[in-house]
Amino acid sequence: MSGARLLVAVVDDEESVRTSLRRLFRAFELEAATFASGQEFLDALPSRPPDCVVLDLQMPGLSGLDVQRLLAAGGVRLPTIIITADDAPETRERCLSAGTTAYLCKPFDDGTLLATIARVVEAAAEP
Amino acid sequence: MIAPAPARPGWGRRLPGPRARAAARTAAVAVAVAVAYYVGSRVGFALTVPPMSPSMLWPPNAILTATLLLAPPRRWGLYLLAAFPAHLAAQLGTAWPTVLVLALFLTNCSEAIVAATVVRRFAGHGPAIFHSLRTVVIFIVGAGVLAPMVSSFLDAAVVAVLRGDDYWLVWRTRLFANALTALTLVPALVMVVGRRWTWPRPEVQRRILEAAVLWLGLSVVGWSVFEEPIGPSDFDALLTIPLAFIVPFLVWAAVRLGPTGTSLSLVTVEALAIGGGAAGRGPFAILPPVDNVLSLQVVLIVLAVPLMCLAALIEERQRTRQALEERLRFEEVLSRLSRAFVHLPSEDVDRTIDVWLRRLGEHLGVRHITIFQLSSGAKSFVPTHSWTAQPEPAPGLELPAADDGSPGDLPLLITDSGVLSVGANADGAPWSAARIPQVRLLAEVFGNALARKQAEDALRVSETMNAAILSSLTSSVAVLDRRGRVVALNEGWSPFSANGSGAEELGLGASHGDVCRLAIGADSPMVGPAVVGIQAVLDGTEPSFRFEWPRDGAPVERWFEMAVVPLNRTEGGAVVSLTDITRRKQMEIEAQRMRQELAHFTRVSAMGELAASLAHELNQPLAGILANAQAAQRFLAAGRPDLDEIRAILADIVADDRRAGDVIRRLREMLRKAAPQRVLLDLNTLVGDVAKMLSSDALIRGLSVVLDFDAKLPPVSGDRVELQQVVLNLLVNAMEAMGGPDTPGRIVVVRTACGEPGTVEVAVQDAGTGVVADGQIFEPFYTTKADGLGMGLSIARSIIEAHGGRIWVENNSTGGATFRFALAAAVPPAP
Repeated sequence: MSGARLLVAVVDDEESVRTSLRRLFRAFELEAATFASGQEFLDALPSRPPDCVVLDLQMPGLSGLDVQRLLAAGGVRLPTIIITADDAPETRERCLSAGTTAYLCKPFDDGTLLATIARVVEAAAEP
Repeated sequence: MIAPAPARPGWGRRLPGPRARAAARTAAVAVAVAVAYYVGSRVGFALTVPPMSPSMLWPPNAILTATLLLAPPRRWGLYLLAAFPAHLAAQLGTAWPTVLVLALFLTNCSEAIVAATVVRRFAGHGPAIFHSLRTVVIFIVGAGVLAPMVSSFLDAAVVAVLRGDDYWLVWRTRLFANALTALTLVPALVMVVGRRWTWPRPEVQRRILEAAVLWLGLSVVGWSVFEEPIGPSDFDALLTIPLAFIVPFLVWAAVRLGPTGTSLSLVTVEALAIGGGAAGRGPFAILPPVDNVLSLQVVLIVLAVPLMCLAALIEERQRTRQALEERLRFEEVLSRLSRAFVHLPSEDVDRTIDVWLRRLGEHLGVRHITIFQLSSGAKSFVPTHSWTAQPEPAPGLELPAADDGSPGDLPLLITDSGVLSVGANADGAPWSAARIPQVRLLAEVFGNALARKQAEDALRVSETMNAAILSSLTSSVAVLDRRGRVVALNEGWSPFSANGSGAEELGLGASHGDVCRLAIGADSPMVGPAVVGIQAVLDGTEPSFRFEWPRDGAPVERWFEMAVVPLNRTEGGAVVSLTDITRRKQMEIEAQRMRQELAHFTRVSAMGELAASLAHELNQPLAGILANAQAAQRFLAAGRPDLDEIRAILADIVADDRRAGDVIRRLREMLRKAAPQRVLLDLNTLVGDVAKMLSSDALIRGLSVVLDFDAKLPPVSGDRVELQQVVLNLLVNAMEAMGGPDTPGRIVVVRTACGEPGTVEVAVQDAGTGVVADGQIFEPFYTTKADGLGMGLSIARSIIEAHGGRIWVENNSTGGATFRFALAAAVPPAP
């Protein structure tokens, strides 16, 4: 971990999920930026790139996977953690095969989330 | 057989036969006139007293006058013309010049024409002229005075001019000869020729005997009076005395033998007197021939006039008395006939009619009487009652020929479909104008009796029919009058009284309250509403009333239905029928249970299919709750808790928890197995709930559901879960119809709106490939899905129909299909 606080972007159409995750990250002294849709996140991306993004899979408009594909297409290398309330195994397969760094099913434990974030950020930092 | 025709005298068609017969008769009469004229002329010549040219008696004129009095005026020309050859044949042989002969024919005709015209104008024609005093006087004045005077002026002038005779002498001789001829010969001819000769009754035969005796006496006395040669030596008294012997016979004739006998007696006397006078014998033989003739003529005229008047007077009185007797007899028959049918039971009517046809036939003296009635097919008249004087087959109904003079049947319409046909008079006499209305009156009595019998028979048939219908019904039926009293009932009520219902056995006169207590059970609270329902039908405020109730009984609960309909008659009333509907009810309940089972089963399977989306729906709030709770733990562990933050966290946790609870509540509701409950529902809320339940599904499928609600939607009455199931089914179908996530325009629109007046409509519109809109889509096991049961839409339809609504589908013009259902709007209960 670097000395500066990590910036985690949260993209979820659910207000309740955004609020609670922002609180959780603040409690663990991470910086959080929340977005209600994939488009909102992509628009804000150039001004302040986060260290990793927590993407909700099922959203109206762009889905989590759509956002991930657009990032890859734009050459942006950003660790992504897909979160979903749909715990179907095929969904997991679909996400991982699409190049997702990590995949979490809602509801998830704070430890799991933080560990995953730490893992993906470190992996991204490695050359 | 004929079609019915109006019954009036002289109706019907004139047939070719009678027309030809009439022509033949006219020709025969013309020949007879000619022959009689010729013979009369010869007789007239024979009675001429030399040296006078005029005869004492001139029969040809009498023949012409009698002909014109008997024949209708349209035949006068013909018959006068027929006499012309006879005139020429009789007179051209004499020494008279042709001009005189021709002129005399004209004067002869003139007398006949004047006499016949005057008499016909004032006294009628035919023998009836001599049946009353007034007409006889007119005859005497017209034919006996006026006509001879007119023709004698002409006659005498012709004779005087052409032969140089003394005008006044000729006039006087002619006048008296013509007057005598007219007064004696014309009545005799008219009576004899115009009379209808019938001899049926013994009384008439006695009259003929009497007439013969009288004629014999008269002839003997007349012969001795007029044929005795009386010389100038006899004293004057004898001149007139013999005539006195004639008078008793003539009075006898006038009193006993009527105008006919009188006129024939006069002719007899006349013949004897003139025969004697012409031969120079008789009481006036001592006078010069001319005076002798004149005396005879005067005596005969003076005898004829009062005798004819007397005969007419007596005849008139007799006819009046006969008419009166006839009238009384008729009225007695009519009253006895009427009495015979009063209060007569209809089964006796036929027999009584037969008896009275015989009595009537005998009274009227006709050959037969028959009653014809239109057959049931209204095709022909068939004889139903008949009487004949002699055993002979009942005659058919025949039309009498119009005024051909022959007496025929007299058909009288007695009812709308019946004819009483009275046969010809046994004595051959034609129907008199006075008789026909009498017979019609009698016939009407038969008509009334028949009409009443028909009405009574019809009534009895309908009563029997009603009783038969009532007893053959399987339901228990009671007929109520306007006040609710039982006026008729069948035997179906006994099971109720045997059921120990506490009510007395139902009988006539019971009230509709008794009916309800017996049927429903005296203690049941449902008796009240049933009585009110029947009363409403009796009052006409409700068109009908229907009521179902269960009744405890061993071994199973039984169901009954009461149906009340108004009695369609002016007096009002109602029919109450009670039917055991247990079987139907059991089947209905069973069907309802099956439907609910199936609905529940399909609901559960639908929920199974929605498992992923339900998990999603639950995991969202759970994720929020967990993150919030762990953040709070962290804040608290850090030892510097921001209480406001903690409060906000707890509020969010509560909200998320409620959300999760809602999901579980809805899920439980859908999985619950409970009897349907009708409550007032706002369809907007209901559809919104279902849409919320499916929001995760939509999200997972990557399509959007647009809600378009009518804010003013009235409530409906229904079962929440069942209607939610319908909406859920339609929404899931719509979402499934729209293919993979890459299809563009993936929107499902759900609308609520007020449909047709009084209905609420829900429409679910997809943008899929549309449906085959043949209604089969709602049939069970119809599916297009690989793993579908094909029950969803079938259940949806059965639910909507159980709610009294309608469900249907149509393809959109823009692609895809729209499923709609409509339910009746419920009137919300008054606050």
